[in-house]
This record gives sequence, structure tokens and C-alpha cells, in this order.
Amino acid sequence: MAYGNNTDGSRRLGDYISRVVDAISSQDGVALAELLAVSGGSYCDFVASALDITKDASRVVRQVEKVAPLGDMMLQHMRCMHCFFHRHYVDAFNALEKSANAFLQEFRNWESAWAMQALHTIVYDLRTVAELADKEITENGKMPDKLKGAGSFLMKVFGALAGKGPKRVGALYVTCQLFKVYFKLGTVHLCRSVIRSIETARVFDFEEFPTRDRVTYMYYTGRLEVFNDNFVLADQKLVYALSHCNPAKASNIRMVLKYLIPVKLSLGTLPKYSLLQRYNLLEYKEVVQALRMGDIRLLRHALQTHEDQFLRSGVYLVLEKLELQVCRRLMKKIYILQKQKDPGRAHQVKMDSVLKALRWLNIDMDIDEVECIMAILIHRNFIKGYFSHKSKVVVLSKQDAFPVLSARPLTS
Amino acid sequence: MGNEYDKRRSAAAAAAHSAVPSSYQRPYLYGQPQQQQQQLAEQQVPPPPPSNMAAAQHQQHWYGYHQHPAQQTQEGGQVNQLGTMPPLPIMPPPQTPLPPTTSSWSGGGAHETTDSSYSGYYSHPHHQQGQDYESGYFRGDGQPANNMTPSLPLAQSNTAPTNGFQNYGHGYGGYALGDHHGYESASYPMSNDHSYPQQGSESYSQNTTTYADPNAPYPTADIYQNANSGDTTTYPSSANYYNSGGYQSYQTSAYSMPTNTWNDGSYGSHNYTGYAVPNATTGPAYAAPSSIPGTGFAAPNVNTSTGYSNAATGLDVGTGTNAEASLQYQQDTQQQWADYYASFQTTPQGSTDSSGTLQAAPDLLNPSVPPLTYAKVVAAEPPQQPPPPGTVQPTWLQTPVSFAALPSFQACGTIGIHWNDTSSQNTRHEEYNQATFAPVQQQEQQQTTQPQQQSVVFQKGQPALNLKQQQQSRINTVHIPTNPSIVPKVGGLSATKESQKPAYVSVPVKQLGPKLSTDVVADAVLQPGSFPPSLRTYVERVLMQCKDEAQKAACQAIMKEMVMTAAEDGSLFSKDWDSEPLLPLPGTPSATTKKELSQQQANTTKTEYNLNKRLKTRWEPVTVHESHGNQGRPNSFYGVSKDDVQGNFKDTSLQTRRIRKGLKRVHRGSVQGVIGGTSTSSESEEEEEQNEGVYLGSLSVAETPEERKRRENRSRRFDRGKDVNRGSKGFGRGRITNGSIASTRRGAVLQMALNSADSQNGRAVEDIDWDSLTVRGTCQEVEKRYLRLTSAPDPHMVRPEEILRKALAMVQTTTKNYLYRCEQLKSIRQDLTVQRIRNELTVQVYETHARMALEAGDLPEYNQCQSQLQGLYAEGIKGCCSEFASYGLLYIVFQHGNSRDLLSAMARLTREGKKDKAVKHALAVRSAVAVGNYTAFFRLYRTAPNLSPYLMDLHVEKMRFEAVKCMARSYRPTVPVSFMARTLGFTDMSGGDGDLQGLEECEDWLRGHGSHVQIESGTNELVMDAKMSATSLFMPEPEDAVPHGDANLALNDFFGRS
Repeated sequence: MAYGNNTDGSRRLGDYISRVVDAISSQDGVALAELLAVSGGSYCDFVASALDITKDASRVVRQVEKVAPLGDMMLQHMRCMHCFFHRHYVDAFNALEKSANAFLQEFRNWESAWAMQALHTIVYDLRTVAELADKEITENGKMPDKLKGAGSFLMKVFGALAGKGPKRVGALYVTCQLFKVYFKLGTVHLCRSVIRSIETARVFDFEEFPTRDRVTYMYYTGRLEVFNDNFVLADQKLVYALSHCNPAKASNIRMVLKYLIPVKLSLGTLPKYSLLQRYNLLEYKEVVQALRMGDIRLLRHALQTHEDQFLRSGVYLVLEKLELQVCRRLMKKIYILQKQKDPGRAHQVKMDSVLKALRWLNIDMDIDEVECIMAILIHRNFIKGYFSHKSKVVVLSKQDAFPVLSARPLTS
Repeated sequence: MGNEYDKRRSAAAAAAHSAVPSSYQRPYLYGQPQQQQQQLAEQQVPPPPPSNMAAAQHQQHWYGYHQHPAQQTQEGGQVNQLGTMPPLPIMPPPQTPLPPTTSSWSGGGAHETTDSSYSGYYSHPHHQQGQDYESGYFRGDGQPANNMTPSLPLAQSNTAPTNGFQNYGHGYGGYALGDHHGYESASYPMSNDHSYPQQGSESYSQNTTTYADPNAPYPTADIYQNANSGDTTTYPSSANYYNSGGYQSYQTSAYSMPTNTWNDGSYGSHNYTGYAVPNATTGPAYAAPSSIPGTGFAAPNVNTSTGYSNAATGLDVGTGTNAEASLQYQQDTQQQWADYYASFQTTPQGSTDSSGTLQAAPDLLNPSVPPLTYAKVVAAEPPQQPPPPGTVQPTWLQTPVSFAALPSFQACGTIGIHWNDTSSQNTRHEEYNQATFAPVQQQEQQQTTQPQQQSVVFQKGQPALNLKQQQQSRINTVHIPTNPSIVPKVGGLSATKESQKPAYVSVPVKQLGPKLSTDVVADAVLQPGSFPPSLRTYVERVLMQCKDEAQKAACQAIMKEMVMTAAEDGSLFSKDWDSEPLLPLPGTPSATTKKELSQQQANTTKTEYNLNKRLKTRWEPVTVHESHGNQGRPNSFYGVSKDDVQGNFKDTSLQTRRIRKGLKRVHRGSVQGVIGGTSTSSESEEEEEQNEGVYLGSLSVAETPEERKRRENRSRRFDRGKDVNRGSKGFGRGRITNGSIASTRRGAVLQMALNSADSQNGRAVEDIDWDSLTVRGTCQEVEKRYLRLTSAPDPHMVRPEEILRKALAMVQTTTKNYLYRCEQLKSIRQDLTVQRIRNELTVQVYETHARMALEAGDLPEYNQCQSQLQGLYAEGIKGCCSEFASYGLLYIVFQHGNSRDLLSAMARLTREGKKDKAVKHALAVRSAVAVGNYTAFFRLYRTAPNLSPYLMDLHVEKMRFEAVKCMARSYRPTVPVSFMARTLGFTDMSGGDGDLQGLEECEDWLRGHGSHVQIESGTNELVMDAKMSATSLFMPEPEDAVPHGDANLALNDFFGRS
């Protein structure tokens, strides 16, 4: 029985290895990628269970030698699959790293990029396994460092791809994986070097990269711009991501919108309620409503309610700055009301009326603070006009007192 | 200061004049050059080992080498008469000092101790000078001059002040202060400055007194002044020496000296300017000492006269200089340098002297000193150098002695000649008063006659000199705070101690420890008359039982330690000195030495290396490491090649690097010798026991087997070179954490780490049981200086937790300034870290430090503490979590404003945390800053809790400017200044006097930033014209900006430091 299993295992392993050999010899990247996939790959369980019942390790080694020069790589890779199958993620990662190293070595020697698919699979697995391994390490109360290690390995892969030649097409995928690693690690500043090498190289048109990678890339770089408070650029990148995103992938669209909406809000574009509803972004509902109504209280309430969420996604600070816009909206509302009453003097908004409105909203602001807000609104081009300290009046410009926000010069 | 100084100087000059006619010396001096020649000739023949080795041994002095041919009778006489000659140990001149014992503790204690420390001095006429020096020094420190008296008589009797020695004495002050100030490089310049004035006055006073005494043999004004000027000139270099942990300074001194000799004119100016600057206490100029020499060098041919005039002015700061003085200075300086170099380099000196009036000298000297001599001198160097530190130490006995037998003779001869030269120079000057042109001539001569090799020699010689300087400076250091009446004893004691220490001590810090405490203690305890009489008698009793000088020296060393200990732990007065058992007599060193004499020279050198290596291992400037094996590349060794000396002094850093490299090389070469080991005499062990616990155990570690072993390991590490470096983190970490256990075990572990590193993969990191390796400190000292660890921590120097608590309390209550407290806290932190203590005490320490750093505006330090605290709080250790969370938020907002950091900081806040007042405040500030709401910001500024205002201060200026910009743009036509003052936080709306003041402040501020403030005609109110201001606003350059960007490193801070 045991003997039978043993031979069975060996036979299955032999089968697996000969497939790998076939894939390599026929330069079938897709097939190889499938064979090498660890997480979610169909061969992972197959190999692992075969290894479980195989007692004759030397025979496996002998079999593996058929794959030379990738023999060592295959050994490590099989070991990784085995460990992964048994949920020893740290061991799996260590084995996979060695395997990936050996593979990369070989990959560099191949002229064409036929194995790009396989390399991407390995890169993806390396990242995912590293995340799992880090989780395992954290559970054991130690300092996780595997994802970091994966990051530096990916950097190496990126280096192998980023040059000229046919392999460059695959670089963006690795870049995106790197973004994922860095965002997860919170070391986004490391993204800069990768971005530079992608964006400055003119030998390769960005549009030649696969759409999938382009969208991911734009999504991440857009997020980076949000962090940098560079809303116009962020808007461009996120819009690109949104427009190229597969419309069927609602979750991806949602991810893009999660950042695009705050960016658009601060640029003065409000989303329709249906959009929020469709992509389940209702946390923005109150914010949008506050912006529409000039309701500072509502904005503050919304921020408070979803604080954790906004902090985690990193849009809190963006949304917080919308308060000035809400104030502007309030001013506009007052102005419109005054215009209805007395068109001749509508452009003069007394502080008293603003204070009254704020008090009605239960916002505790005294005249100095409101004055300050008004000054800031004027200073930042939210409002055209000037403030008279003596008479406590905001004198609005007679034309275009409330300029379009997206057109307003960016004074901070 | 300037006045006093000037007075003394003029007095000295007057004395000089009176003394000149009476000096019967002059004729003799004239004859001298020829004699020198003879000497030289003799020297060139390798001298036979002196017969009177034992005697030399007694001297224990680094001038043990004096025993060599130079002692021939006639020369000996000459030496004595001249007083400038190196003393012959064997035949004490008529003026030979009294046996130290008698006078030691009563009156002449100071000089006495000096003797013991530099026992070689005994036979030297010079040593007197050194003593005088000391006393003068004290005086310079503002102590009553009484203390002079005890030492003076002696000085007179022996008098033959040697310039060289004086110089050494001089170098001191600088060192001392520098030391005291600690290791932060920035502090050095300042310390130098301090020491300068003191030295000047001190030396002068001393001279004056000596002069006044009719008994003083021949001292000419020149000599004395020379001493002074020498001091000043040498000083910068020595100061530099200590600047950056030794190496760099080393280099500076090394090169500065030689060059000076080359071109007297230029050097004169440079040195003196250097000097002048400190006097004027203009920090910045002095802050870059190396640059000054650099410029000096850049123009080697600088007109001599100008150079000197500079010098003169530099010296007589603010006081009228008489021409004579300046002339003398010229001479002096030259002499000075001559002395310096001469002591180790024959030829150059000869050439120098030969210029000017001494015609015979150049011709005769040059031929007589063929290039070969250089080599010899070089060879002699290494042995000579080591002795100084060890003079007193029994351990050292062997070395000096053996040296005496070694090539060093050569050097002895040189010195002798050299001094003769100088003295003759002096006389010449007096007679002819040709000072003005003489230097020029000399300069030329030097340049022409001196071969390039000279520079090599200089470099060699320099270190040795420096070393001596150090020693003496140490003496001074200890003295500084003491009272005149006590000085003789304490000073003497400490002098002995300090001078000994270099031999044992591997780490300067360790020396510092005691020094610091000495200072403190001295302040507190050693006030006038604070020495109990019983202590005096006790010391006398002990000294009485000593049979010879060596013993005496050793005893004094021990007793000095005892006294210092007592002073430190406060038992100085409570202790019953009368009933204190007499010290057991240390073993007679001479016996051991005799044995040692038979040793091969190689052995001796090894020993030296061993001892010296200690110096080298850390910051101690290692001057002595010339190894015979390295003679092949002497140039590179000290980092100054001939080329360097001649021209290119600009790239100091390059030189430093070179020096470092050189040292390293030597280090490796000498490692073998270390294992050979030195024999430890019972005496030193004894002393170590004494030391233990007193000086943080630091001073004592020198020669224990433990230490040796450790050193062995350390050196092995170097041997292994890159393998190890590449090796393992484990090793590095091991160094930090281990140490509590016997060092043997530590060594084993290190070895293990090493092996594993060597073998494969550094897997050892996980395998080492860090807990068992963690240091458990034994140090009982509350106060401790901070030094970044460069090796495994020594339990003797690490304070256990309870002591650290005391230390923390001390820091919290002390009234000293921030720099002091910061250093103390850093050392506490270090001790906590090496002992892996992470508890509430740790949190308290970091919190305390963070707060103090905030108050002092030391943001980098604050940031360190904050990040540590973050980790500590995360571990669940209790502390002022919310308070520091609020600081953390504010810091991020104001310091870099990275929104990601801010987000994560905000995300870290707990729900409860957000309810905290301080946190709420910080969040409000953050949102005010985000929106630019200046009104809210300044309101929050006024109500800021805890230390938040200090952080908000960072942003106030920026916020105000933004606010004014905003107002200028949005308000029309005007904004009342009163409103702005209120909004911008200048006034607090209380309506009191503060408001008026704030109003003015606001107006000034507005004007200072380019806004148009005017009085409105209608309302008679002060307003800002918004429209006009909108375009004219600007942010002025911060006034306190410093070129290096960190105002905290500004010199002014360090001036206030002491």
C-alpha cells in the first residue's frame, strides 16, 4: 500500500516535472505560469499531495534534474508548494524566494519574453505568500519582514525588466505589485523611484502596457497624488483609471471612485446620488449633501461618523478641507437670498447675517473667527470681493462673485 | 583679563631687561653652538646603553633617554647653566629640586606632585618650570596668588625653565576645558576659547615671579616670554588635537607645527591670530581652528614683520604693546617652535638656529647631520613617545628604561642641542635686538636648508609633544577649580593621577568621568582650606615611608585617588585620616625593571603597543603608535606627507582620513603585541582597587586580565577584518547587549558569533540567549557622561536601575543648563538600553528628556524620545500617553506636514485618547492649520496645555505671515493694527499693559515683514494699509540662522554651557 502510494506519488511528480520541461522547451509561458502558480494554482495541491506520499526523495531529485538548469529552482518551488499546502507560509516564502531567484537568473538569460507570464505569476505569488507569512510571523509575536523582503526582490525583478527590449512590457505589472507592497508596508516614498523610471523613459509608450497594469498604475499614482494634496493631478490619474477600468469590475471602479470622489469634491464637482448608491459609497452622501446646502454642521457630523473609515483610506484630510467650500456655499446662499430681497445691495453681505446663519446651524463661531474665514475665502479665491473690517461687511464682486472652483488658481 | 595679562607681560619684560645684564650666562651661550655640534656628532654614533639604567628608571620619566651621551660632564654643566638643556637624570644640577617628600604636602605640594608624575623632571631644571606653570595656572583661574609662593622657591632654586616644558604645561588648559566640555565636537572650540585667556595670564604671572627672583639663573625675558608665546602657539594645535575625538586634531597639530617652523613669519601670524580670537571670545572665528592654520600655511612666505605684529596684537588684546614685547615674541615664537621641533629633530633645528647671528651653527650642523640622522631619529621616536603617559606607572617602568637603551639616545642628544640653540638664540636677540630681521633670515634659511625629510621628522616628533601636552593639560584641568591653598596637594594629586592615567586608560570618557566629578566636587568640596590637616599629615606619613622616587610617585598616585574618592563621596572630612592605615608600599619598580631590561627591544615595543593601543582604541589621541614595522611609510603614518606640509593644507578631511588609515594599519600591526601582554605590577592592581567604583570603574580597567582579554578580542576583531564585518548582525548586537557576565564568557559568545558569522549565514543571532547576556550594571555613580558606545558595554560603567532612578531625579532637579541635562539623560538612556530595561522608569526618562528637549527647542532629540515613547506606550507601559500623543500630532503638523504620517498618527488615537484635553487641543490646532484659520490657531496657542506652546512656537511665525498675507489680500482698505495684534496672538485681549506692549510688538513685526503701517487720519488709529502691503510683504531671513543649519549647534550655546 505504502509502496504503491510512493510510486504513485513519484509518478505524479514525474508527470508534473515532465510538463514543466515541456512548457519550458516549447516556451509556453502561459502553461508554465499555470504549472508554477502557488496560491490558487491548480497544480499546487497536486504537487503537495504527491510529495506527501513520496518517500523516495532521491528519485524526485533525479526527476527534477531533467529540468536543468532549473532543477534547483523546481526543487525549491515544489518545496514551497508543499509548505504552502500545509500552511507553513514562512517556509513557503523562503523556498519561493529561492525558487524565484533561480528563475529570475534564468529569465535574464532568455532573449525573448516568452516566460513573462510565469514570472508575473511568481511575482504575484511571492507577494501574496509574503503577506501570509507576515501574518504568521505576527501571530508568533515577532517582527514581520517577509513582505519587505518580497519588496526588495520585486525591485530586483523590476530591474531585470525595466530596460529596453521586449521584456519591458512586463515591467508595469511588477511596478503595480511593488505599489501594493509599499502601500501595505506604508513605505510609499519608495514608489517614487519606480515611478520615475516608468514615467521618464520615453523609449516605451505608456499606452503599450497592458490595460490592466495601466489602470492599476494610475490608481496607485492617483492615490499618491491625493496624499500630496495635488488634486488636479490626482484627478487626471484617477479619471484615467476610471475610464480604462473594466466596467464589469464594479469593485475596481469602486476603489477608484473612493478616491476620485473626494478629489472631485475639492475641485468643485459633486457626484450624483445614484453614483454613490451604485458603488456603495454612501459614506460620502452626507458630505455631498453638506456641500450642496452649505451646512457646516452636517459636514462635521459626517466626518465624525466616518472618521475611522476616512482615516484608513486617507481621504480624511481632503474631506476636512471641504469646510471652506461649505462656507462658500453658505455665503452664496445668503447672497442669493439677499438678491431676492434687495438686488441693489445684495453684494454686501453683513457679518451679522452670516453669524445668524451659523448660529442657526449650531456652529459656535464668534465674529473674529467668521471674519477670519471670510478673509481666507477671499484669499483663496473661493469668493471674489473684499472685506471691510470697519463695517463688518463682505463686499462681493459684482460679477462672478463665486468663481468656478476648478478654474480657480491654486493658491494652496 | 586683557589688563592683567598685559601688566604681567610688561612686568616680565622689565624683569627680563634687568636680568639680562646680570646673566653671566651669555658668554657661555655664545660658545654653545660648537658644543652642540659635538653633541650631535656624538649622537650620531649609536649610543651605548647607559650604565646607570636603574637611575634612569627612577626617573620614570619619559626623558629617561636623557641619559645618553648628552650627559657628558661639560654638557651637563652647560645644561644646568643654560637651564634650557634637558636635564641629565644622573647628575642632578646644583639646583636639583629638593626631594619632594619634604615639601610635598605642606607648601610645595603642587610641584612635588608634578615631580612624582613626571619623575624625570626631578633632575630636570625644567620641571620647575612646569610647576610654576601649574601654580600660575591656578592663579589665572582667579584663585589667590598665594599658592605661587610654595612653588616658587623651588622654581628659583632649580630654575632653568625650559620652554619645552612650559609649552606642555600650556597645552593644558585647552585640553582640560575641552575635556570637561565633553565630546560633542562642537563644544571644543568653545572650550579652547575659554582656556586661552586663562593660560595667558597664568603663564605670565608665573614668569614675572620667576624673573623677580634674583636667584633665577639666567632666565631671560625671551625665554619666559617664549614660554608664553609658545604656549599660545602650541595651544591651538593641542586644542585641535582634542577636537574631534583625536584623529583629526592630531593631524592638525601635526601639520601646523611643521609648517610653522618652515616659515616663521606666517606661522607667527596664524598662531597669534588664532590666539587673539579666543581672547576676544569670538567663537565663530575660532570655531574652525583648522582653517586658521590653513590660511597661515597658504602663505608661507608671509612677511615676517607683519606676521609678528599680528602676533603681538593678538596677544595683547586691547592693551598697548611695546615694541620690545613684540620683538620678543617673535623670537619667542621662533624659539618656541624651535624647541618643539628640536626636541625630536636635529637638523631642522640646527638650521633654524644657524640663521641670524649664529653663523657657526648652520655650517657645522648641517654637515654633521647627514640624512641618516633622520632615520635614526625616527627610529628613536616610538620608544620615546610612550613613556610620557606612563611615567609614573610602575608598569611603565620597563618601557622608559628600555628606551633609554634604545635608539632614543639619538633624540636625547637632539633635544639637548636644541635647547642650547634656543637659549643662544635668546641671548643673541637680547644683545642685538635684531629680532625683526632675524626671523626672516631664519625663515629663508629654513626653507633653503631644511630637507624635506624634515617634515617627516616633525610629524614624528609632534605626537610625542602632544602627548606631553595632554598630560600637563590634564594636570591643569584638575586644578582649575581648586583653591590656592589646596592646590598644591589636590592639584598635585590629581596631576599625578591624570598623568598616570593615559598609560592605563583606554577610553577618554573614562578619564572624563573623574574629571567631571572632580570639577563638581571641586566646586562643592575643595573650597579654600577645605583639606583637613589630618589628610596632609597622612599623606606626609605615607610619603615618608617611600624609599625612592618611584615608590613615592606610585604612592602619590594612589593617595591622590583616595583623596579624590573621598572628595567625591563626601568622606573627605568625615574620614579619620589619622587612623587610616598607611598604604602598603608598592613593589619597588626598579627590580622589575631590571629584569625587563634584558628583554629584547621588540618585546618592549610590543608592550608599548599594548599600552598605547588602549589609547588608540577610542578617542584618545594616539600619538605614540609608531611601530618599527611601519617606519617604511612614516609619511603616511601621521597623515602628513612632505607634500602636505609644504603646501596643500586645505584638504584637512583628506588628511584626517589618511591619518585614520594610517592608525588603523598600525593598529593591526600591533595587535600581536597585545597578546604578549604586559606584566602588571602589584601597585597598579592596588590602585585599581582603589579606583574601583570611584571613577565608574573606568579608570581602573586598564590592566586587569579581563580587560586584556577583552582587548584581545577586540583586536582580533580587527585582525579578522572584513570577514567579521561582513559577518553577522549577531555579533554587533552581541556587543551591545552582552557584558554583564564575566568577560571571558562574553568573549566566548563573541567568538561564537564570529565563528558562526564566518561559517555561514549568521544564524547565531537567534541562537544566542540575549537575556543571559544582558548587562547588569554595577556602577554606583549617579552622574555619568554620555559617550556613544563603540564596544560592548562594561558593567562597571553601567548604572543599575536604582542608580538610574537617582540619576533621573538628579537631572530633574538640577539647575544646570539643558546641554548638561541632555547629556545626562542620554547616558541614562544608554544605560537603560544596554540593560534592556523597558519599564515605567524608561518611559519617565524618555518623557523627561522629551519635555526638556521641547523646552530647549531641541527637536531632533525630542523626536528621538517621541519615537521611543511611541514604542514603549505600544508595549502597554504606562505614561503620559495622551500628552505625548498631542505632542506627536503637533510635531507632525508643524515639522513635516506629511499627510500620510498625520493620518496614521490620527488613526492611532484611541477613542478615549481623543477625549483627552491635550489631544483635543492638538487636533483642533491641526484643523486650524489645515484650513489656515489663524484666529483659531492663535486662540489655541494661548490656551495650549502642557508644553504644546513650545511646539506651536515653531509655527507661529509662519502662521502670522500667512495670516497677514491673507488679510492684506482680503481686507480693504485698512486693517487696524490692534485687531491684528489680537488676532495674531500679540495681545491677549485682557486690556492690560501687556496689550500695549503686544501692540508695539505687533507693529514692529508688521513693519519688519514689509507691511505698510500708518495712522489713519480720520480715526487716529494705527492701521495697516492692506492694498499696499499686499505686494510688499516678505519673510525676513531668520536672525538666528546659522550656516550649518542647526541653531542648536551654534557656538553661543556652548559658551553658556559650562
